Amino acid sequence: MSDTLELRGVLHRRGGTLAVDRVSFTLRRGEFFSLLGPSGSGKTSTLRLIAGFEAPDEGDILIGGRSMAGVPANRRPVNLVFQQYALFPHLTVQENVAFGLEMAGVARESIAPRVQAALEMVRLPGKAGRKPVALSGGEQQRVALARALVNRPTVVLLDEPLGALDQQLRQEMQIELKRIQAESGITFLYVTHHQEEALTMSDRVAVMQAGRIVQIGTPHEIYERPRTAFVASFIGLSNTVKTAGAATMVIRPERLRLSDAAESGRYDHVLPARVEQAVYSGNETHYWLRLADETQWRARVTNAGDAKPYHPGQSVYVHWNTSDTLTLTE
Amino acid sequence: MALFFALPLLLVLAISLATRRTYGGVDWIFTLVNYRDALDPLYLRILMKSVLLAGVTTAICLVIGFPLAYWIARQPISRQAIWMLLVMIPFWTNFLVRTYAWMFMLRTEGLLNTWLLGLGIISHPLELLYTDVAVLIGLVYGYLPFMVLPLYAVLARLDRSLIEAARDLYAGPGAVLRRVILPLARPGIVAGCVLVFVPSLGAYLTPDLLGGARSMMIGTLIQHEFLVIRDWPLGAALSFGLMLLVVLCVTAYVRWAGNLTGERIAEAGR
Repeated sequence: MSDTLELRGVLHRRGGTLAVDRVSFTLRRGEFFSLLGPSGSGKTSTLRLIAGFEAPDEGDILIGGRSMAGVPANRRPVNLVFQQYALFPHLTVQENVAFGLEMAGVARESIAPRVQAALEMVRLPGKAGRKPVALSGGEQQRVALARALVNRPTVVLLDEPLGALDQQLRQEMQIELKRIQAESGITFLYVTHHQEEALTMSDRVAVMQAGRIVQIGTPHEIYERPRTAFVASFIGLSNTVKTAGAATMVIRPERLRLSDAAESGRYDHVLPARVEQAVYSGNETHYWLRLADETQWRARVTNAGDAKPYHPGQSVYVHWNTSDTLTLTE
Repeated sequence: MALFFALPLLLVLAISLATRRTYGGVDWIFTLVNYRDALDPLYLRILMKSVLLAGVTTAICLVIGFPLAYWIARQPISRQAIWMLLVMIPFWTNFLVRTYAWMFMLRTEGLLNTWLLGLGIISHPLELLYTDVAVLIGLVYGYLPFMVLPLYAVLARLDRSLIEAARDLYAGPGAVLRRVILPLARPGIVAGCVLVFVPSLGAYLTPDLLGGARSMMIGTLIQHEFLVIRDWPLGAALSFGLMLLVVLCVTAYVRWAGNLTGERIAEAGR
């Protein structure tokens, strides 16, 4: 039994459909755990059930070993970082961050130092007197995080907090979040639909589809040993390899080697293909290939200085080794 | 535009400084006697009572209007329009007719007394009509939509996630109301209070019909001076004085409330 967060068979209906379908998982203390899945997969619904904004129809949620059945949101030892931050516009940054401490009845003298410490942890010490409207998106996001962290909750819940940021800022914030989580040692439960984000930041990832958890594992496990075709194609790209048996095999685009000539000696498998599209994106080139049986494959080739670019319409050979393929167990 | 506002104002001011003719009308002889007369303790008492009544009307409208507006704002959006329509429908009925309806209800042999007697709640009829209570009921009924409308406008725009955030941060329902909802609804509350207080203060139809001679308010007093006593200059002096008072009060109130918004805007600018 976890002393952090545990879900047992949680089920929740919304408007006639199963938003969350018998979800179970356990968090370990201090880990960075992500719920990853496309829109509508139930990840935000799960988060809201943990936060206490809705009650599950079946199953149980345990925080710190205690069942949360019947416990309202304002009495649960978790805090949520909202997607749109939900900062109180009429309060200053200081008042926003202090809000939870005041509501919880923390002694007046301890509040200011704790707020200061939280702001320092998110690297925003000088902005305490500002109102949210005077801050940039990235700064508001940090305030929202500080506001959650300052309460030292058992779990911090994050609902796609980087969604509103531009690409550059996103990547910076990913590293920041990771650092803050490691420094504070607080367990993070992170919800996102960006697979690359989940893989970058998490200790473990739970992939969700249609309200269910399809696979849980480390980023490495999820990527290298996907269990289903859905996981294989949601986490990174995958090309399906036709096999004689019932098992499905896939191969990642970066494992394919392209060449003008068929180098059968060096690789286990070779297939002829026609280049349909070539997209150059700086550090690599992305190819759309059409195999002889009309299947479409994608290949990613790192652009070393002397790599030959292939043009659309050109005929190439695709090579790979058996060890590069992944077998899906379901 | 300014013409339609300034010209009548100047006319009232001019009349207030003129001398009365016995049966109405003015002699254009400058005098300040009207303003001296307007400060008579009798008139000041009537003014104080009017301010009190308007204040109580505003308070009751706020206490009824806020929960109502909040509830409507939480309905599904398609339903909200219907509810607001229901709130506004009385406006499509003639005000005089509505006031007469209240007279019917509050009379000794009226609807309310008949029900209460029939249900055995009282043993003889309540004297409601021609009292301050009747005026209060009439004013609250008439001006409630003016409170509900701006409150609804502000509460409908309130970000739901702020309430969830407050709950997530351990706030109970009372704290959510005090620390999040009320502060953010303040512009609507200010607008609603002004929109109810000012017309209630100057009301004369409602106090006249529902209050009778016993319940004189400043509005009925002014009307009385003009149409019964025929002392136009005194009526004009009372009008001008009232208007000055209202402008001062409202300006002070809005300044006080607006300061809080102003603070925010100034902060944002920095």
